[in-house]
Amino acid sequence: MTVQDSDLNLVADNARKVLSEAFASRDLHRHFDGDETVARRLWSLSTEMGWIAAILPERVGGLGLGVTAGARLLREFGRFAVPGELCSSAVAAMFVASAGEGGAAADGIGEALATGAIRPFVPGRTGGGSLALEGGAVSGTVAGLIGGRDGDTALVPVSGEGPMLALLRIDGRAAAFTADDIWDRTRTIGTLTCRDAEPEAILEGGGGTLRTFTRLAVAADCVGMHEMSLERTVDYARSREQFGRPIGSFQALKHRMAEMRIALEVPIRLLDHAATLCASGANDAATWVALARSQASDASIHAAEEETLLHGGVGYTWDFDCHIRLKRAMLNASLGGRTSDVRDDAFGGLMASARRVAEAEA
Amino acid sequence: MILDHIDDENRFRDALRAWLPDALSGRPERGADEDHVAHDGRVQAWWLGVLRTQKLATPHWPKEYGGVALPFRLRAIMTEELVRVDAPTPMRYMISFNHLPATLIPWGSEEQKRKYLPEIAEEGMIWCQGFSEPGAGSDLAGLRTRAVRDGDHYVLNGQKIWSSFSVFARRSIVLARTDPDAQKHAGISFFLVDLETPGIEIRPIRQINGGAKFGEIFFTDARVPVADRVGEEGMGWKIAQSTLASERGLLWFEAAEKLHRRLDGLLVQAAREGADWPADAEMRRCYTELRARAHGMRLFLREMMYGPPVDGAEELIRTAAFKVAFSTFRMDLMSFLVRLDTPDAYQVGNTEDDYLGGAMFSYLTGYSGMFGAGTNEIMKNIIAERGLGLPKG
Ligand SMILES: Cc1cc2nc3c(=O)[nH]c(=O)nc-3n(C[C@H](O)[C@H](O)[C@H](O)COP(=O)(O)OP(=O)(O)OC[C@H]3O[C@@H](n4cnc5c(N)ncnc54)[C@H](O)[C@@H]3O)c2cc1C
Repeated sequence: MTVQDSDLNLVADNARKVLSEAFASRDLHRHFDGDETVARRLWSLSTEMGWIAAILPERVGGLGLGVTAGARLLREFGRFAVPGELCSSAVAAMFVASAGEGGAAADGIGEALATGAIRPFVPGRTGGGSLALEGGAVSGTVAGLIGGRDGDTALVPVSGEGPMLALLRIDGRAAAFTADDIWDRTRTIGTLTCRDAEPEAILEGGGGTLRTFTRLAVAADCVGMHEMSLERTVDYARSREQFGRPIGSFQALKHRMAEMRIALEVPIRLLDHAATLCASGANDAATWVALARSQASDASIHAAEEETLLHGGVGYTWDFDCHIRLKRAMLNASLGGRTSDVRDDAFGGLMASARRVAEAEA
Repeated sequence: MILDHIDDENRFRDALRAWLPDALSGRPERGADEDHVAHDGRVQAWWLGVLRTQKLATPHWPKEYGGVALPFRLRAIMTEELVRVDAPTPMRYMISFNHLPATLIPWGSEEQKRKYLPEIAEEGMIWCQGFSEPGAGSDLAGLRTRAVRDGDHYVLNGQKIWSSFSVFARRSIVLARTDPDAQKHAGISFFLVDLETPGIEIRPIRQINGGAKFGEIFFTDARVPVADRVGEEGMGWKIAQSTLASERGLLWFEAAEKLHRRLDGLLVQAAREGADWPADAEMRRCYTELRARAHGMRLFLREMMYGPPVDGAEELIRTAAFKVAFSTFRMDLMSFLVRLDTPDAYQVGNTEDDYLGGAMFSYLTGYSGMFGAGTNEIMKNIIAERGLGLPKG
């Protein structure tokens, strides 16, 4: 199915508008500083708006807009640095959307996502440990899962008869989650420990695909944050005055802002391209997702650094937004694998197709 | 004829693809004591002759002036296919094919169009662009070459510099000041100049890459007919904006396709020959980074060419951002190719194609992209002030 650009624009524009009111800077700071009501309110709003449902197929109660809509939404999520459960749920939804028909287990997860019944953690950082499925129950420990503070489930790889994915309910007993104390407080990272936990769903394979969607989500998050860093910096530079004029009139700063804009151009296009390839199930989708993820991540870190620097002293404060994007952008560099490894995966994909060309020529 | 398939993109592409191998088979070899510049010129002229047999030398031009009004999309397909088989790029005709029609079609008199466009299409007349001056580079409107009206002529005095292809050219477009008292941008007029006019002297300038494709043009009481002024007196600055706008679009498209192909081919070659650089993490990641940018550039260009229109400020940002991003990408790519340290990396080697020549040659030539068509700093000024709305200062 090809989704119309106009539909995608509608979804993204709407999310931007809603988030700019419902998750403005003061809400972001309240969430960052531990107010639990903010994320809960946003989660209800997301369910009401059907953001996650937009990605999911119609057969599980979604709108059927698929991965391309997921990437557009995640870009808006990044722009506003929304709580992690929205992002990890969108990753899971993209996974379900790409699973195709006939996957009853995936469909079950899809239905739960569509109604907002679960807020799963998904693998984020390359953590230590592993989970094993034996006699229908999962045991073991896995670190580096990412989601939000109210995460209630985990969609994680387990090894049974071959690689599988399990959806586990975090009940604090058979499946317990401990959050790391990390700097990026917009999201939650932590370790899941299972002792004979009964999975709510089991799927064959899927670990690689899930990671591809995490990477795509990170690429989108980075592009969105980069856009916001630029906007905020330009606004600030137009209003802040020194030496009797706006600091935005100093060429040394102008050029840095122009460079922030220039640096956005490639990641934006690679993101769309990668999402389109994922949506059509192209063979080289994972390669292009990796390329988008690595470029977008490098660019957004630089944008967040520039945002911080161009704000002067206030950039060094907890009260301004700069540090929130900086921390989130830095953490993104470890999600779906560290950037150098992601780049190597991309190279592996490019090399494999170069080999095919070389062999065809010979 | 390939043009019989003008109504169907796929058939047009297939017909081109079928025709190209034979068409290219007669490519002139370099003679034993022929230098690269002479050979390059011979190849370009030959290739135009071959394209002309299919009416494809100036296909995007209107029919009445020697083109076939080939739709833009097909022109882009043609570029893709030519790049795919390493067809020569008629660089020397860059101003003739792009800047001249972009200027004359909107602004020229009917007589000027009939006189100057068909001779390019039919005979391959080479033009150059005399805009920059020693004192007027980024600040082009500060130009001082004077044109003083004398009956049905203007008398030109002054100096132009950095005129690409001037050493090969017979004609030049020239900006000169007709009213020294008017406001800076308002006193400039646009002329079509025959470089064989008495009082004009051209001197080559040796470039960083050893070549001498650009040069200086000196005017000493050179008389240019009033009929060769484009538009009204004082309109030169405005007209020049149309001229300069033609430096984008398909010229960029061709360059982007070439660089992508070069990068792609490098990996296929590495696969074929079992090259050792993929095992070097720094080289491998640098390559990967460049591949991502190469394709990002192509997607960006296609969006500008085929995507929905955007508003004026956004359009300014996009064009300037592309120029900076692409020229920087080109430099980074060439620098990478040199640092790969293949046996031929530091050899003078092929100096004929700006994008596909030897690694060091391509690297050195890459700097032209950083300066030409407005330096990257000027582009950033445009993005910041006219695009992002930052205050002038
Ligand atoms: C290969 C090549 C081909 C060319 N072909 C032609 C041609 O065919 N016809 C033609 O007319 N011209 C041509 N040019 C000239 C080209 O357009 C000029 O070189 C260019 O406009 C810069 O002018 P300049 O060389 O005088 O440098 P300058 O303007 O002196 O610039 C020097 C440095 O100062 C910076 N600078 C200048 N002004 C500003 C500012 N306001 N803000 C920030 N930085 C600034 C520049 O970015 C640059 O880094 C060509 C140049 C090259 C390199």
